[in-house]
Amino acid sequence: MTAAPTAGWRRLHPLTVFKELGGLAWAIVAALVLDFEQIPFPVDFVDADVIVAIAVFGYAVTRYFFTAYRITDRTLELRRGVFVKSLQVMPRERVQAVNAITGFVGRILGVTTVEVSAADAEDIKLGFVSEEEGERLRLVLEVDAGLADEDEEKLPEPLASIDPGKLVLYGLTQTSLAIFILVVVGAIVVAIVIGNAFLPLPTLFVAFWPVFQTVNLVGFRSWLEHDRIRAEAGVIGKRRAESPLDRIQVVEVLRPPLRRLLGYETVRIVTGDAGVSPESLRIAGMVAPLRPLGQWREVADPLVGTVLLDEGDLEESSRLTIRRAAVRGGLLVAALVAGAWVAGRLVDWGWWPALVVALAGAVVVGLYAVARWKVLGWAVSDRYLVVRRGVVDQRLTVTPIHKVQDVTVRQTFFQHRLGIANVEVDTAGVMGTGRILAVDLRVHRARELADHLAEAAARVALPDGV
Amino acid sequence: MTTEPLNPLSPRALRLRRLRVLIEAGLVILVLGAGLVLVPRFTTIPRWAWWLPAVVVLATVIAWWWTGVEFSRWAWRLTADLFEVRRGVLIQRTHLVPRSRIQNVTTTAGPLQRRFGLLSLTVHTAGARTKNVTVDDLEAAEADAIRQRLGLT
Repeated sequence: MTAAPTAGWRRLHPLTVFKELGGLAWAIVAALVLDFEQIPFPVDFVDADVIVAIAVFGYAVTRYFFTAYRITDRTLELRRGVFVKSLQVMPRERVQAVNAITGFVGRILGVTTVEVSAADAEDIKLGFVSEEEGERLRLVLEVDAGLADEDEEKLPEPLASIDPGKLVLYGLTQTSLAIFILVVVGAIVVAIVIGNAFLPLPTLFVAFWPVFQTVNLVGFRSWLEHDRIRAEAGVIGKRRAESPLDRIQVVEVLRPPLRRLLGYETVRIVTGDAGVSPESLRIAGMVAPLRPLGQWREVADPLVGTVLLDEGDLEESSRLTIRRAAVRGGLLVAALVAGAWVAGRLVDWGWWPALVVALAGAVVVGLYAVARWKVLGWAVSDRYLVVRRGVVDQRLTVTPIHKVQDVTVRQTFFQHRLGIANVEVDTAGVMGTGRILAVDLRVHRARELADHLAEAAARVALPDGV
Repeated sequence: MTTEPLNPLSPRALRLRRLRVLIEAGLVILVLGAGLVLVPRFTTIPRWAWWLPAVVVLATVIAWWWTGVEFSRWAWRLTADLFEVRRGVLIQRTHLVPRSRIQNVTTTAGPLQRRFGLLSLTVHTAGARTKNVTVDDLEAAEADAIRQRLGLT
């Protein structure tokens, strides 16, 4: 049986064998766990572990020889597998993005991994290939996607970038960092109470996420190139992500509390690509990590066209939303008061704790309800919907109306009694952090908004509806 | 604005849904009855257990009434631009799906539904959150008409 590449089939870089070995690590671990030394082995002059090692290495090499790819006139194909054979075929005209990922070790050895993604299809990962081959693949496939740049040498004007000082600021204002600090402080308090000094240690792992999120953006910059938004980040291994502008479903403006207080906001995009690899996902969607507060339009306009709506144009939600928030908060406070009352009885403090909780709760709920009403707002034109919400974690979404897939008017029992309703808009955008939701509109305004959105969307027929 | 009226579900749908309530209640009573007959052979059962049949009957009556309330909220219409579905009592929802965004339409019919000449029609979009909008227990003829009209766009 031969697996020699024929008719344009090419093999990957020989170093791929080590990547395959990584995938077979389970076999080595299993061999160690099962401990073949214990099993009587007929050939006693050979160490059983050596046999296992040779078998695993041999299998990795065999897999390498059975893996091949080719670019035909119309397709990119990858075939692999010794026992279970697979052939991945991706039409070249469907290629959406070509990412070359070079890790630290890869950079030293001169190899790279090329990830080719298409809408609604599994990524094809070619790795390792030599750097030259990676460059060739990138050039050939990018021409398909119509994204090759004629003057690659000239660095395009960045849409946004972030210097190290700002990046630290970005990291410090991440909501996940605040959560981390809360978790650790909570654990320390518990540790003091129960007298176990080691308890807080595992919680330190929670720090992983904010650090990870921030480190991924070292050296971040984003820029426009023809009809695409591209972004890259990383010092040792560069990550690149890109998206055609007409595939942007939503532009999100994120304002976590601390970042907002210091006068900054973050701009991201949400696309419909379901096949984004975890590798490029780390920066996918990010457009501008740290922008001066309220200047999102400078970034959003080049992405989705001139929005023309600004936060001054936002229509307020119904004032009745204050009452709704107060009732909801009131229920929570009532539960807390009951808890405080029970606790007060238990430690013989009488009804003082309950009174304190009730007063503090009433003040907080009142302030929250009014603040919430002031944040809630929406604005709509013939082409865009802008929605703002969130008292603590404020966010603003800009949705091109032709990206709207469906619209839902939703009323809970209490909203129904107050005559208010939410309007929720759905797009094909996945992995967005929040819903597109206009909260507590007067019911007739909600219905008008929903009709306007759905009818405007119906008028634009998209080739594939997405 | 559209002026086409909203279509309610057919009375047969209500009969089907109430029949389902009765079937479910019947099953519960069957299991309960078997329990009340068999358990005393092995151990004594608490006295409150004899109230359970009454509770089931009461629950059935409530479910019967609630099915009617819920049924009356269901409505749908297909206009030149939109497919609209209204549903829900405690949480009321109105789904608006632009016709140009409909990716495909599926119908399903269970054995009971087939008996009544009804089926469930689902409209799928590329939306990441809602994904689909369903009208349960439509008349088969109505569903066919919807499919045909959607096919014409």
